Formats: sequence, structure tokens, C-alpha cells
Amino acid sequence: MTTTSRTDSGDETILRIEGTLDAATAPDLRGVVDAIVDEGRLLITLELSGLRLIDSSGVGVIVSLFKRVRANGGQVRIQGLRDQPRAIFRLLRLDRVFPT
Amino acid sequence: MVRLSIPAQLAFRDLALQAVFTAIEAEADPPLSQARDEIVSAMNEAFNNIVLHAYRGILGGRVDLAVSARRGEVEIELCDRGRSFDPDAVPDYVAPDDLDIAALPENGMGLYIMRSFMDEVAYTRGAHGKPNVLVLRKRWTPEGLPHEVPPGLAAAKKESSQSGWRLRSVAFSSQDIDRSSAGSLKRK
Repeated sequence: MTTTSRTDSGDETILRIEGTLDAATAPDLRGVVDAIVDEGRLLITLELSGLRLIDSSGVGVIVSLFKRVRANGGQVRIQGLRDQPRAIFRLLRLDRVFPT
Repeated sequence: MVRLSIPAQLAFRDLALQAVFTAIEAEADPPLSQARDEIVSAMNEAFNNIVLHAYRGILGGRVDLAVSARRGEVEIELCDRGRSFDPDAVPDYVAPDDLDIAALPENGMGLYIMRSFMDEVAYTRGAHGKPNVLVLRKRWTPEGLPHEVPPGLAAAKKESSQSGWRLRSVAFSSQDIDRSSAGSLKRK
């Protein structure tokens, strides 16, 4: 189960993702990502300290957000990455791509 | 040995994980430490692939799980009767370098995760009434101690680490399933 909460503060959007982001829950997050991109939000912070588990489907949604925001001239920053999600990001070398 | 037959649905993936770790904690030591995250990650990808690709989300399929654990080692076998796949046909995941944002892949990472986090990954395509069989094997040692590796495996590990991979494939046997034709997932 994934819980997401979005907070807009000025130009910045903080998206907090908690729980499990996997093949079952990633489709739900895609709608949130679409909204953020469609609204032209350019400063995105993903707060992942409550993310317990991620799989490749979940990573795919985050990468999609990252690419689309960057294509619009914005930036996605990640904070709070730990445990299994951190291991996945390191393995895929995404920790070298995402500002943390 | 733990055996479990599970509906091939994502909602049952945690049950498969629970079976794996129950077997490990009951029969194996030392404690898993970071190997736990790696086994969880590989198992998730393996189970996802069966549900989403072998059965293509069609209800009614099953995953037959067998877990053998002993000191510092676990072997996880997942059998399905869905569509087979050709590991060699799966494009390699290319980790991003030089901040090449446009080249970041959004899928196709599952096999790479399995290969990277497990010591052995082997896949046998089902045929003539036999199921597809995926075997994942993981070894671990207590944190801070050197990994005890047989000489033959040490050479393979050295070779594989030089090529950017961790150890991926070593021959093994099973009394349950004839894997004489098992296709390893070793990268060519």
C-alpha cells in the first residue's frame, strides 16, 4: 500500500511517498505525476523517508517524473532515501543522477 | 524445505516473501543483514515477472514456490505454467552515466536487479508439460567477516566483478527438477 501526499509551497512541490511503491501501486502514482507535470511544476522534492519498499515498476514512475520535469526545465530532488529503496537506487546508479 | 502454491497475483507477493523469510529464519544463520534487502528486491522482480509477463495478469495461474535454507544460503525456486521468456532477448539495463537524463530507462530493470543481487540466477523454459522454473540462490556471511567462497567460485566472482557484474550463474543440481537444459542467465 502506498500513501502519497502532495504539498505545494510557492514554486516548490513536495511529494511524500510512504509504504510500498511497486507494480501494484505504481499506476496510482502515475496519475499524481501526470498532474504535477501538466501543471508545470518545476521544483519537485520527493520525500521518501517513509518509503519501505520499491520495485522496478516504482522506480520507473520516479524516473518518468524526473525526465518529464527536467524536459520542462525543472528539477526533481530526492530526500530521505534509505534501506531497500536506497539499495535499489544505488544498484541502478540513480543516486548519481538524482540530487539528494 | 518450504513449499507453497500461490495464486499468481500481486496481492500474494508478500505471502511468498513471508514464506522465504520464515524458511530462512527457521533454518539458516547468520542473520541476513543487508542480504535481506537484496533477497526482497530479487523476489519482488521474479514474482512480478511471473504475474505480469508469464501470465500477463490473467487470473487463475499459480506460482509454485520452494525454499531451501541452510547456514548462510538460500535457494528459492519459482515455477509457473505461463508464457516462457528468453533471458538473452531481454535488453541489458544500462546504468546511467554522465547524467544522461534522456537515456534513463523506465523499465527493463527487473532481470538486472535479480542478477545483481543474487549469487545465482537460472531459468528453465517450460516444455512438454513441465513448468518454467526460475531459481534464485543467495549466500551471505555475518557482517564484517570475509565471504567464504570456494576457489572455483572465487575465480568466477573475480571475472564477473571485472566485467561489471556480480556472480550470476554457477552450475547446480536439484533432485526435484531436471535442469540439464537449464538456461543460465549469465550475460554473454
